[in-house]
Amino acid sequence: MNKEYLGEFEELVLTMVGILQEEAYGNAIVGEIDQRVGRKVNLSAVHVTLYRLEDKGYVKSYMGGSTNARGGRRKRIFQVTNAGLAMLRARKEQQVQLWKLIPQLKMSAL
Amino acid sequence: MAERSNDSEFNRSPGIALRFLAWFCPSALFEGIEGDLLEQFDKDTKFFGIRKAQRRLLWNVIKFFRLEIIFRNKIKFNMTNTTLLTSYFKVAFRNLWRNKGFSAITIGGLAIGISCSLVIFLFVYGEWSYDKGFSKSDRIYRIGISFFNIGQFANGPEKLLDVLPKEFDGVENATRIRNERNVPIKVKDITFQEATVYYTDTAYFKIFDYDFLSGDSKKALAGPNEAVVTKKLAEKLFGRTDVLGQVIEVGKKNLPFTITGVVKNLGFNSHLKTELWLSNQSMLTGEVAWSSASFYNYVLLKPNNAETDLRQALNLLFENHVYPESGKPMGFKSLEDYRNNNMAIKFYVHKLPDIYLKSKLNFEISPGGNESNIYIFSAVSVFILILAAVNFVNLTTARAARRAKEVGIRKAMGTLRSKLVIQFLLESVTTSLISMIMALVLAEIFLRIFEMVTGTVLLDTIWRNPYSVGLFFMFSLLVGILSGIYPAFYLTSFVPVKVLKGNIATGSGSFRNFLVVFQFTISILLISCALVVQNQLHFMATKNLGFDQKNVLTVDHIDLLKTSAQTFRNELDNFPGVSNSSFHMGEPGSKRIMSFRAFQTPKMEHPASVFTYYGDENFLGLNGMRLIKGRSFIKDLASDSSSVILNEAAVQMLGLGDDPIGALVDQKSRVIGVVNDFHWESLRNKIAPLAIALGNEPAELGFKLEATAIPSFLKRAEEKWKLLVPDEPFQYHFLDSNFGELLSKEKVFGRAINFFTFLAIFISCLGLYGLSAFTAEQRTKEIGIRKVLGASALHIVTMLNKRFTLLVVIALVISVPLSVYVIQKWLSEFAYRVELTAWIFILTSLSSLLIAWMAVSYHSIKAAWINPSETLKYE
Repeated sequence: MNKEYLGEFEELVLTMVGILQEEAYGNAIVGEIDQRVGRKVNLSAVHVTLYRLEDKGYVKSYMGGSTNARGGRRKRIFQVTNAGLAMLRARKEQQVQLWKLIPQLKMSAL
Repeated sequence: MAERSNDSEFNRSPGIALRFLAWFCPSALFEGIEGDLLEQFDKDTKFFGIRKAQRRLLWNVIKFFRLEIIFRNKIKFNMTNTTLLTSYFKVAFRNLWRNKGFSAITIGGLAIGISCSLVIFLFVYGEWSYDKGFSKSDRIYRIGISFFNIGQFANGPEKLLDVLPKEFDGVENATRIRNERNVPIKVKDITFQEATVYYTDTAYFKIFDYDFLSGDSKKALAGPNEAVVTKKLAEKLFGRTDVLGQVIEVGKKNLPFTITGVVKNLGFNSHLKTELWLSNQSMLTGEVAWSSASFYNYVLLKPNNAETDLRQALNLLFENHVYPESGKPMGFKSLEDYRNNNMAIKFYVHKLPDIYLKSKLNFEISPGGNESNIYIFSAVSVFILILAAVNFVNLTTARAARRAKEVGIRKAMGTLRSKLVIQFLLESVTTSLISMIMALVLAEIFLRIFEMVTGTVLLDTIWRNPYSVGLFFMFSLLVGILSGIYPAFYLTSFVPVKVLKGNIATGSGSFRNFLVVFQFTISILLISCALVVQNQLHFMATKNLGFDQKNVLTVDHIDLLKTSAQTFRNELDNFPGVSNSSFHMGEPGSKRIMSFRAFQTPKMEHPASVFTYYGDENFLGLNGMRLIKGRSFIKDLASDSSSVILNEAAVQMLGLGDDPIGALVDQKSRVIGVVNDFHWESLRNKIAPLAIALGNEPAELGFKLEATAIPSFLKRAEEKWKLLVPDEPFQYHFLDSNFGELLSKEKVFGRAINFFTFLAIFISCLGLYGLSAFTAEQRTKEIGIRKVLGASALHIVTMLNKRFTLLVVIALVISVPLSVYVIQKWLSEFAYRVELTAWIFILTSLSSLLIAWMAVSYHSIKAAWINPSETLKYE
């Protein structure tokens, strides 16, 4: 079931996992998205997306150490895999390529 | 969960939300999600306060309740399986495609069988479901009556429902219905022809629950001149459904009725077939006689009362009312004496759902179904279904044997046995489901064919009842699994080495032989039944009825001409080609008009009623009835007004012996002649006693004509009729159409049986054909060697056919006694019937053998003709 396709929200979450590194778990990602792009997202949506990314092989997860702050519950920490990183890079290059193809007339018109 | 924590904050968190999460969330994900939720809750508590935080937590948990979370583990499991599944389907379709002919036979046979029995099943279900849709149907009873031994009537006396509720407190409600057919209805000067009108009362809609679209179901028909119409009729009459308060004019007298209710048409079958109900106040006459059949009487019993209570109540009513009021005046001395006499009044109780199929009384409110035909049809449809299923199992298992090598290789490659079993099951289920889909299309086609062959409409479409279509889907699934089980477990049980070496036995074949015998037993049974049915029909169509029904034309409703009837007759009597004519009331083969007379001779204890025709002096001549003794009526002989002519059966019943002429059969009627016992009822019935008397109020006028004169005579007669009574329709029928009508129902049955027999034979032959192809192929090498060693083609064909012949012979032996039993059962319904002769079974045996040989020989001959070098060179 490996899809080459990555949705917009999936890409956003994947990027956040890359940014947060060791601290990439559900709540932190929600907070990070809010902070960096000003978007209020749902915790459950983030969780589901993370699992989907895991299915696609772009992230992997492990259970972190327990802390008192969460009632003793451990965090599920996510990590970008090589495939995920390659995907992000490919997407970035793709976007740059596409951006270059847009005639820059609009800019001059401004 | 929360209790585990030392932190007091979390103890206040709504445990219910997290318990809900624990219930639906896969355990692998649970801790991570719960932790995140608790962290959020912690933050929220500081930010919004505990109460809002709790609400947000619950809301967040609910948001996690989604398919991706709940089914996460399960979906992963399925994902691995779909690839295997697709592979199974691929292999299944490749196999079907590789043996196109074989697949066509297997799938086609099952599809025909399923579609045919689906259609019959739906038809039978429709017949069974009559009136069961009324919510109180198990508490509603109709009470019919018989009296004076003149037949049992579905309707009964008006008085019954006045007396019964007073005598029996188990009656919750009761209603009377009087029906009238072909009543014209007028709406603002436009006349519509309406089929049937029920005159009834306000209790009707309390007993039978109809959906009222407008109007009050509790008050409808409470007053005089009220009407209730169905939605359909309202649309037909007015073009709309909001017709409350509109006035319709009913009948020839244009009586006005105001519509006070519009009901939905029933969504199920009912024997109460009307679209218009009218108040019956004007119909009530207050008649006090018990011996009357004027209203259909329906009672609704209270929930805790059974049919036996009602019967008991009717017994009491018989003792306390009927006997004193009706029996005593007739001269019966005791209650028992009266009760046991066939002239006495008897009540017939039918439960509402039984009326359509089980009640066979005279003057039913609508024609009923035929219960025994239903049984025969269901049996036949089950047979055909079994035949088709057997075929399917037989062919699928035979074919599966060819795949032994595939199984061997799969096993050698490490496929688990369980996977192979699933594969085989899946294949046969796929095949059977394809058949089912084909069957749905075929069923629609069958309906049309059946309609063309038998001339009756079974069903308009199969989609009337989606549930039973679903049922058949389940059935085809079952057939698929059944036929898959044998190869699935048999073939997969082999050691791969053995299978790959190629010496796999294809099964003992005894199971398959059994199935073939079974198929042919049923086919032979059907063939012999069909032969006998055709025989009996031919017998009935050609039997000498004892009178001459050819070229006799009857003009109906001659009473409409009143005094000019004689003029009408005189003028037509002179028409060239008319050899005889007679005024009469009643004629052979018809029960449109029924009259009875009570006769009693000194030898009889009680009077007996005898069906009576009224005619004039030409009546015997008109119908070609043969006078055995005495004389016919003489015109203008005054004493003949009280004379009667009897048939032989009547002479015997009245005990008049050898010299009945001149005997007195009631106070004043003397016997003047005896006619032969001609068949005046269907051949199903024994010839019953009959009397012919002079009648002075004729209803019909019969003419005996030359065949060639009929068209011009009809033209002339109609002209004369129109001249005399221009407002009344000229109606006529031919005497032989009476028996034609009686026979036509039997003919439909005969055609239906032929149709099914053909189907059954066809399906069996398909199976045999496929099976013979399979055996011939299996023995290709053997045949090659035999030919090399000098066997002739004929020898090989005989050898191959021998096995199947033996099976058919066994089937014959089993089915002959079975058919004798079934046929005799069917024939016993006819008083006059063909003899069951041996040649029917000889013919059946020969034809079934011939059919079997034809099915088998194609492949046998093909196998026998192949050049042995072709078949042997590949080794």
